Amino acid sequence: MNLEFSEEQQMLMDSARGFLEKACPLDKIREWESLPEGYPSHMWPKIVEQGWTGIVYPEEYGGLDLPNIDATLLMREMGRVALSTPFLSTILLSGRAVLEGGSDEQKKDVLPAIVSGERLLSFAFSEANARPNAATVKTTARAEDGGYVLNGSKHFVEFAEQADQILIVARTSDCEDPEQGLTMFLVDANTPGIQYKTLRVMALQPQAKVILDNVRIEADSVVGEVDQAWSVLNPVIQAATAILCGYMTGIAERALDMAINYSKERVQYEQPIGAFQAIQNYLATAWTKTTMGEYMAYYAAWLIDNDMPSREAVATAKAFVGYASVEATQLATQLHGGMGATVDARTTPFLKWAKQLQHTLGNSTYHETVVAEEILDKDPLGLDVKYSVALT
Amino acid sequence: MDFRFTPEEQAFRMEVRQFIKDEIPDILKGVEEIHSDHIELEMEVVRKIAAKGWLGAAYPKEYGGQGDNNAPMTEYILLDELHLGRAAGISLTCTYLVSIIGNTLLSIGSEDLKQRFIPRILNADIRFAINYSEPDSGNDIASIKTSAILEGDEYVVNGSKRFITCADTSDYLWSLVRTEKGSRRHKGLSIILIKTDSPGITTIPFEMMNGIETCDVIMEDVRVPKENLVGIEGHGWAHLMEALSRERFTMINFKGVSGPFDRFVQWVRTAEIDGERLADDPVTRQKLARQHLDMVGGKLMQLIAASRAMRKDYIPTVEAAASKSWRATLSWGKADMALDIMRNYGLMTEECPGAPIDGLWAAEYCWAGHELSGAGGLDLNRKIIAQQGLGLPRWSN
Repeated sequence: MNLEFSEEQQMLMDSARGFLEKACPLDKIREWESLPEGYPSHMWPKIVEQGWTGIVYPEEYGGLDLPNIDATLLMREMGRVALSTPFLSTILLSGRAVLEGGSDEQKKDVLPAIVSGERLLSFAFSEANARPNAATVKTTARAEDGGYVLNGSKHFVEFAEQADQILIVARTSDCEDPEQGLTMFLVDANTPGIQYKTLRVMALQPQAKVILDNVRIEADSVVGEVDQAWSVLNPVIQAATAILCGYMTGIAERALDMAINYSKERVQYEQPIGAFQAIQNYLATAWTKTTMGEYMAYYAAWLIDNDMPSREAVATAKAFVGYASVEATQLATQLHGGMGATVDARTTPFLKWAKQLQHTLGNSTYHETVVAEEILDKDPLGLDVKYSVALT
Repeated sequence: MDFRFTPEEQAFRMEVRQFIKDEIPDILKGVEEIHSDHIELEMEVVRKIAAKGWLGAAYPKEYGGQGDNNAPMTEYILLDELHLGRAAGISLTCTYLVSIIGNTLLSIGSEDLKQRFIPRILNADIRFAINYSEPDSGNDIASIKTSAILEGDEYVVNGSKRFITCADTSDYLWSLVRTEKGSRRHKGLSIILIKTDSPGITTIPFEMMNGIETCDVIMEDVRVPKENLVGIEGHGWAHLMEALSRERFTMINFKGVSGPFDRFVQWVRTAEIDGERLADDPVTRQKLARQHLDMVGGKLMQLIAASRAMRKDYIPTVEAAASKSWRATLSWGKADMALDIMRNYGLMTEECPGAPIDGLWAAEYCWAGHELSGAGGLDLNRKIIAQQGLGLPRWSN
């Protein structure tokens, strides 16, 4: 048992941190909040240049072929600068669904294009129930004239209006089990019949509601097997959720760093406020929770990388990190006093992001219901004896 | 990063698990602390552990140890499995012997002390009590008053100590005393080993809310040979900090909290109240899941500490304080949660026939108060995290 980073992981983190701190200073992060595009689009080519868009992709598509845990570490660094990018939708969700489910032809077309930054993808999966489960999908795809006709609506789709292509999950068959009968389609974002309603959400991130009104598409836009999408999507969403927990950890850590540094500098009652035990208690607890959440993210990603049962660990991480990062950013705001509550406070982007991300890919309450299923309804996994896992 | 034990570590873990199954009598299971009722039985088990060579894994061969390079992990696995097997009392005895006193002696003790004590420690034929706190000195241990003044070849000790668990069943008191007359706070302190049957020592046992026993120790003109000084005279504070770091890391195992919770989850899976399955109730499910998150967090913090203990010359003080303070944070809350789900049935104690889970949660509720104060209180451990981990300043008047 060894929870230390490898030399390569340390190098990855150090170089990412060095680059991002220079490219995204705190005052810039605040300025970007008022960008008309809704996110700092100029950062994406820079991220491509770093090679990060290829982190989880095989070398044949221009990728680095690194494990999920390394992607988690990288996302943590992006979280530390609250960097808004299409990383989740393009690289971790839609692109990966193509990698895991797509034909050779689709992979050769899509993957090098997203790794090189030429193309952005959005992920049109979740609908009215705003949950990352199969039951969310009510949009239908009716077979007609050798193609399909899509009808329905997708909610809270990140980068929908910025993407070149959209990955749509729809029902091709009516089945009692909601996990059956789903199919993925990859289509051009400007296909006739697709409408976008811009949503202005709390954090700096473009989102839209996507309305599919008799959208006619070709049969070759199907990704993977018809009716069998969930078997591809489920592990892709699981991995993305674990990696996202890294991003959330980064958000929390940076907010906490700001709070700690400010508590050392800010003098009231002739003391740095960090000398007060009340403040020390707050920060010690927030640090403890953030660190536990950080390692929950690593643990979940590590289980996935090692082909071990991970549903419980992913849900635990997402729920806990959701709470921990929200608390850390609220505390950072609180400790900055009146200044923390001003429009220009440097902690504000982090405060908003933590809350936004707590609800991305299922909120803490949702993931607790998953945890309950895992611990109450299923047989114990035996990770301890069967897989020698140290977490007993 | 690897959350798995190596094949060797796993084999050792399974061996310990089997040993616990075979060799630890049921009466010692669920005994969370050392209790004088079971001392003889308990020491028999500890001697069997010693005979396996497990106590001395980390110790140099010259003192009867195994000289194992991977020893912190071996020690971790042994103590962790003991907790998992609900034999926390035995784990605690091993911790006292090997982790706190043995290791500190090895690090700072004179050659004479090492020769005299370490082989006996590794054979488990000696018992110690930790003799630090006083009626007026709890978390603020630098305020102790017990004096030990050198007269010729002996220290003459006067003072009283409180919450000295096992003082009445031990051979030696590992004692923090003031060796410099008139010294204040952290200065002039020393650690000495006092034989418990020395003339002038009175031990008065009393019981805690959770059923464990601890003692007051009164020392009146107790004479201690000066060879029993541990480390350097007047450097007691630094020595104490080292011993306390070891104590927090090894003594406070998170299984003490997660173990009862896991038993509770197992119970909820099949339990019914008035014909209704508890596992079908959405509120129960949500509460249990929420608590599960906190349990996983605590287990991970403990693993982080264990993993970092493998670093050369690193004592994971901050990580251990986090594990400890988290355990304390959850103390009453987890019992509140369980008792709420169990309704009045949870309040039935183990003496009550038909009490669900053997009256576990009535006992856990009474145990929780101890969680908050043992091995440094909740706020003290948070202060360690804040000042040593996060670099926050100390209060200055």
